[in-house]
Amino acid sequence: MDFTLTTEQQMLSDSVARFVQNEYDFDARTKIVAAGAGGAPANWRIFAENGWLAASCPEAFGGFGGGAIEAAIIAEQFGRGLVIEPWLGCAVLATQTLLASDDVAVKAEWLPALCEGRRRLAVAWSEPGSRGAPHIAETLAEGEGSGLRLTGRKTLMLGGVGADAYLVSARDARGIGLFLVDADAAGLTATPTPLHDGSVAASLVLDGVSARRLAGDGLAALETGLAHAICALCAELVGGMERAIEISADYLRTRKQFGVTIGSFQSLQHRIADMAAEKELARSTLFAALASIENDDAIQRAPVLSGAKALVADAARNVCAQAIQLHGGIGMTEECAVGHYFKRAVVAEALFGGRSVHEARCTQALIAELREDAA
Amino acid sequence: MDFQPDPTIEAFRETVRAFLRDKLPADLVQEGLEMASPRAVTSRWQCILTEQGWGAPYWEKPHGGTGWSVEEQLVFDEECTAAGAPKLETFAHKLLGPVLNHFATPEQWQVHVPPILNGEHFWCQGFSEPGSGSDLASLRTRAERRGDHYIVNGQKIWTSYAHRADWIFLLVRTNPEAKKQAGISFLLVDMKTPGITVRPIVSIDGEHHLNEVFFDEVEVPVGNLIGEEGMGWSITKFLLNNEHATTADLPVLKSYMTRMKTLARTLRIGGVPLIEREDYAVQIARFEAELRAVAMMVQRSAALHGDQGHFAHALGSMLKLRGTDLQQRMSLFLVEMLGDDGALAAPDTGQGLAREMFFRRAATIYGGSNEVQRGIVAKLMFGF
Repeated sequence: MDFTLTTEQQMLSDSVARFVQNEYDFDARTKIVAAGAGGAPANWRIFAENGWLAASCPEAFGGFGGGAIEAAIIAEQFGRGLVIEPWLGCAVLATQTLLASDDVAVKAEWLPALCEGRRRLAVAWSEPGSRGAPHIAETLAEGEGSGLRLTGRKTLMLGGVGADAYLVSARDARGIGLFLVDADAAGLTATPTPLHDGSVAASLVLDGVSARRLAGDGLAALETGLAHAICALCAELVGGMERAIEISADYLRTRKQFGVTIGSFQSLQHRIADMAAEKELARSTLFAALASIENDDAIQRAPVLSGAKALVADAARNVCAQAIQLHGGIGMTEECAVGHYFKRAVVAEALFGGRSVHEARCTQALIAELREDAA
Repeated sequence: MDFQPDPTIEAFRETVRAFLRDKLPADLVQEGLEMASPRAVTSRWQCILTEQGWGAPYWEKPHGGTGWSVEEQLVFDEECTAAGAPKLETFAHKLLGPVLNHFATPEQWQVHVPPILNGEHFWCQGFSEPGSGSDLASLRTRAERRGDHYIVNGQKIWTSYAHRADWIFLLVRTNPEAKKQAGISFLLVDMKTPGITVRPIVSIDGEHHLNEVFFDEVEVPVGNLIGEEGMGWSITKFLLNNEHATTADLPVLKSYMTRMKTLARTLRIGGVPLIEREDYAVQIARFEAELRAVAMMVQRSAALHGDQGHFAHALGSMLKLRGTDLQQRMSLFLVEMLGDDGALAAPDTGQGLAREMFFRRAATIYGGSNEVQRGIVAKLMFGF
């Protein structure tokens, strides 16, 4: 185990940090959000040119051969800048899900184009009744080959606006599979759904839509993709917490009341110290999740990733809510950045399954472990 | 950055396990969660470790230690706790030892270190005073030079295990004129010296760990001064800085989790084991996730050992905040799991879990209270 970034990792981190600093300050971000498109096309080209869409994809598919750590490095900096472009949904969730699938032909056809930013793919897996549990899907796949049709509804699809195709999870006789659907296929309705944080997801209605089934175990591939997405989201939230704390510390150093800067009050010093400690615990949780992705099999990994999702999203909500509190009234305004970090944390809690869903998953794993010990 | 397991650490873990299997006698195995093992038990264990060449597991090689990395030390502690090995005499090993290694004269080292390694000498720490808790530097116990001796007068309090210690390392004021930190010196005192009185303090766990120690015209040879007069404060800072990665008491947290799982399998409500009840199971699952995070935080802190930067120091304080908070919540939940038995004062119901829980209230007070730690974090991280 080594916690220090390699030279290459440091360069990656610095390059994303520079982008956020130069192109994505709070004013620039406010304009992108106001445009309502869920991101600026010019930024997506920057991501592609810098290799940020290809960082965690093997070289054989046109990527740079990195892994979950490289994605976490990018995500942390994006989190600091509250970047709303659907990098998480497309460059992590879709790329890693496709990568984990056994469909060699679709991978060869799509991954290089995703890495170069020529095409965009989004994963439609969550449903109104699934709440982030990938094994629950009411969307049905019926028929075979060219007669294969999908029917159902999908929600909260990250990167769904502007995608060229979707990876849709659906149930057929073999269980849950992944299906490739063209964005302009007949019978498909994609509706943009703006989120609290200014990003835009999409919901999908599929009414007898023609699709191609990906070879292999689609649910396993989806779970691997989600594991990577959860890690990247945790990294993003750690970056967001860190930035919200920095902004709050600056405010405590400058805001005066009773003739002194409010940072001189012990109650506020202790509050920000607790926020920093919670953030460092969240970062440690992220590292444990990354270690699990690197070393564990899918069964061992599931409770670690679920525990991380529950804990880090909860920490982010707490820390960013406290950042609002430290600002007082000004923290409640749209013009103040800290409220937007809180909004992102609230959205993040819902993404990829909320706390209750993930804690239930940890609980089931624990019960299984103890039953096995007892037997 | 990578998270590959270090093969040398895993090999080391196997070595420690094999040693514990072969060399830890069954009659020394400690079942309970006691803070300290009986003196005779600790002594015998110390001798077994010394025989193995592991008598000083936390010290550097040139000082007679094993030279283990902080990561290896953590593995050693973890495996010893898991195997029920007796507690080592922590004051000598983790606090005084490094001070002797860095500040003692060769003569002082020869007098004090061998009796630690052969289990003869037990130490206690004389820092806090009735008027000097968090504000340690305000201490007033006076040591006045008279010829070849210091004459010590004053009082220490919260002195853990003073009643079974042979020696005490003491912070005393040698120069009342100097600025408060500058007038402090570090003195070693034989507990058998006339004029020392030890009075027990029973804490809310019903146990006697703590004491008051009174010094009335106690004569201490000047040769027992460590370093120079007035160096006591910088020695103390050195001593406390050694402690970071261990403040979370990770082995204790892990033993709590083991106990939680055992109770969840064995205790029943209406015939149903607690583990089959979601209300209990979800809480244990939450603790498990948090414990995993604290364990990784310990690894991060250990990796920064020796780093004198602000962040390394602040991370130690943040680890103390989160680690002790988790200790308290887990120990409370263990008592909660006992149901009606959780209210019973009889010491053997609940395997000492209530006693342990009561004692854990001290975790956020000792070693620099959590309020002091928050102040340190605010200062180091944000300049407040």
